[in-house]
Order: sequence, then structure tokens, then C-alpha cells
Amino acid sequence: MSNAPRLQDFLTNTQTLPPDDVMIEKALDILNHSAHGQQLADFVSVNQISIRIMATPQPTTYLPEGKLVYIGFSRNHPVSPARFVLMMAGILREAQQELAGIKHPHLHAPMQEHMKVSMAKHEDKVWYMCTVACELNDMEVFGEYKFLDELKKMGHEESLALYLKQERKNA
Amino acid sequence: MNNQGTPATTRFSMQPSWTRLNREQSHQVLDKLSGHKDAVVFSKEATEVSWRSLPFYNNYRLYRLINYATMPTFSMMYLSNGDEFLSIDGTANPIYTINEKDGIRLNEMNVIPYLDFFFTNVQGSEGDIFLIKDPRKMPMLDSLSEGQQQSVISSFKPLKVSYDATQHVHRVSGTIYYGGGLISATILVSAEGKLAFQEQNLLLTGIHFPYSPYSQHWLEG
Repeated sequence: MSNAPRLQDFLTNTQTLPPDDVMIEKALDILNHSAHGQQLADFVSVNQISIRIMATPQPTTYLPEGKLVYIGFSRNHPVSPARFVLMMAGILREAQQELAGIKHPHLHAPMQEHMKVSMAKHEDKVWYMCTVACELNDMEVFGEYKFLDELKKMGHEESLALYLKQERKNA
Repeated sequence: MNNQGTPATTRFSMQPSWTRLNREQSHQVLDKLSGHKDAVVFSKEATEVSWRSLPFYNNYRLYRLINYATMPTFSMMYLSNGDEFLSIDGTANPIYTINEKDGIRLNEMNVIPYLDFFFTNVQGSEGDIFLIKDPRKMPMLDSLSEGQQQSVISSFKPLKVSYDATQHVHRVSGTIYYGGGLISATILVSAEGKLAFQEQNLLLTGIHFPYSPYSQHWLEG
């Protein structure tokens, strides 16, 4: 059957990835093509943010310290370049928040405070990812990346729809 | 040993629960991990370390580190004997390494927990693989259309486990979700815990879930 997933190849890693530093450099280069992405790329160089790739079973990002960010995915099933760029945009925005003093509340802070601050931080991060995705998506040179589709696949379909609606309203 | 291939749905052993380490023990683990080259950084203040045993290992346990200072929380898993820590990285390598080091012990009672553990932590080239035990309890079944849900339920073949004494392999046959399809297949699990697939038959295609069946939350956000 032509559409059958290749179960026999389940553990065969057929994809060769570029070295980590090349992937990071390329993603920063792509971010530089969008106004909001450029702001993030500048933030990385000005503040000497360290970006590292880690091997994790599921795609994830992690900000353990203000100047250290991780992007994780499985080497057996790497994320697409577009998703990698968007993951980077999201976690860099979070690093920006941290360095600007907008931090998650202390673990023992009241639930209300967690809700208020953490949700605001998350909303800002997703809004930023939507902005970068739309800016890059509009560029012919990145047509194949399908940034908006990727953002939807990441679970942000509803956020993107809200973002686009708001943008239309503001236009 | 049963060579007839008996239904396995009622024989899954319960996974033991997580044991949380106290502050001092947690710091010891974090100190050990921080000594590793390329170790992922965890803060001592906001990280919880816990472990649980795995029924197929003697000396190695599964360790879970959760950093509660991020939203969503960030976690990583390690296989460890208390001294050596191998991070679970989405490939089979760390599991196969520990299988060899610890001398994995597989039997008809723990081969399904082993497969669950394996598939939870290893992605294939087309993403997650999910061993279906009961289609009605399948994660995210309700995200499919009514027709697709019925197709999943009617296509399902129950799990069967048997032991092939001549080849020293456990044979687990059943239904698998992989790469957007349901597949009936037999998984051969060698005495060393290595996996191979046989007798594959595509039952259903076009099954796409909004997120990983193993994720607690949406894929990266």
C-alpha cells in the first residue's frame, strides 16, 4: 500500500541534520528577514544569548536562565525548519521578557498572580510567534516553509485566527 | 510460557508510582548531572526530582526532573543506576544501551510495559507510535469524526502476547497507531529488548491527532 507508514523503518534514522550551530545560525538568519524576528536576532547578539539544541522525545523549548535557551526535538523525527524558526522565536521572546524583568511569579506566589503574569507572558509570546510567522509567510522566498501551517500544527490555530482578526481590524 | 498467543488486555501490570526525592537527594542528582558535558541546566530551587522502578530492569530506574519555574513546566527523563545518568532523547540508543548494561529481563508480564515505555520515549521517522490496548480509551479519540471513531473501533485487533522459544523472542500482535494510520502488526521483541516488526497490515489511514498521544499539553508552544 503506497500510503502505508513505513513501520519497518521505525527506528531507521534516514535524515541527516546539519550541525547544531549551522541550524541555529540559519534560523537566526531567517528571523532576520522579518521586522520582529530581526529584533529577536539583535537581542541574541547584543545580550550574548546562548542557544542550544537538546535531544528530547517531543519538540520543546526551555529557558532555564535569562541568557540560555534550549530547543529540543528527537533526532529520529526532527522538527521542520519552519517549526524550528518559530520555536526559536517563541523562546527568545520569553528570554526577552525575563531580561526585561517580566518573570514568572515565585513558586509559592498566589495562584491569581501565576494566572495573571504567566498567562500574560504566554499571550505575548504566542502573539510574537504569530507576528513573525505572518511576516515570514508573506515573503516569496520562504513560500515553501508554510509558516502559518506550521504554527497551526504547533497547536496555535485558534490564536492565529484571533491574531489575524485583530490585525484586519487594525488595518 | 504461553505459546498460544493469549489476549493480553487484562495482564498489564500497573506502573509503579513516582517517588519524590528530598531536597538533599535531589541536589545530589542535579550535582551529578551538572558534571556532564552538554548537560541540560536545571535550577536547584525549582526542580523536583523523582524516580520510579521499571519492571524489566534490575539496577536502573527512570528518573524524572521537572522544573516548575517555567510555563508549561519543563521535564526530562533519565535512566540511571544512581551513578550514571543517560538522558531519554527520543531515540532507541539510551534504552538499548541500558538493556545491555543492566541485562534486561523480559517476560510475558512485562513485555507490554516495556513496549509502552519504549514507544513513550522513542519516536519513529514518522513520529509517535502508539500501541492501542482499548480503542475506546485511546487518547484523543474524541478529536476524530464520528465516522473515524467507529472505523478505529471496528478495525481494532486486540493485543496478544506469546513467546517463541526457538527464536527467544516475544511476539506481540495487535493494533498500532503510527504515521497517521492504524496498522495491525506483530512486534518481535528480542531477549535484548530490540524491536522488529512483522506481518504489517494497514487498517485505516487519515487518522491525525492534534497533538502527540504522549504529550500532556500541546506540542511546543
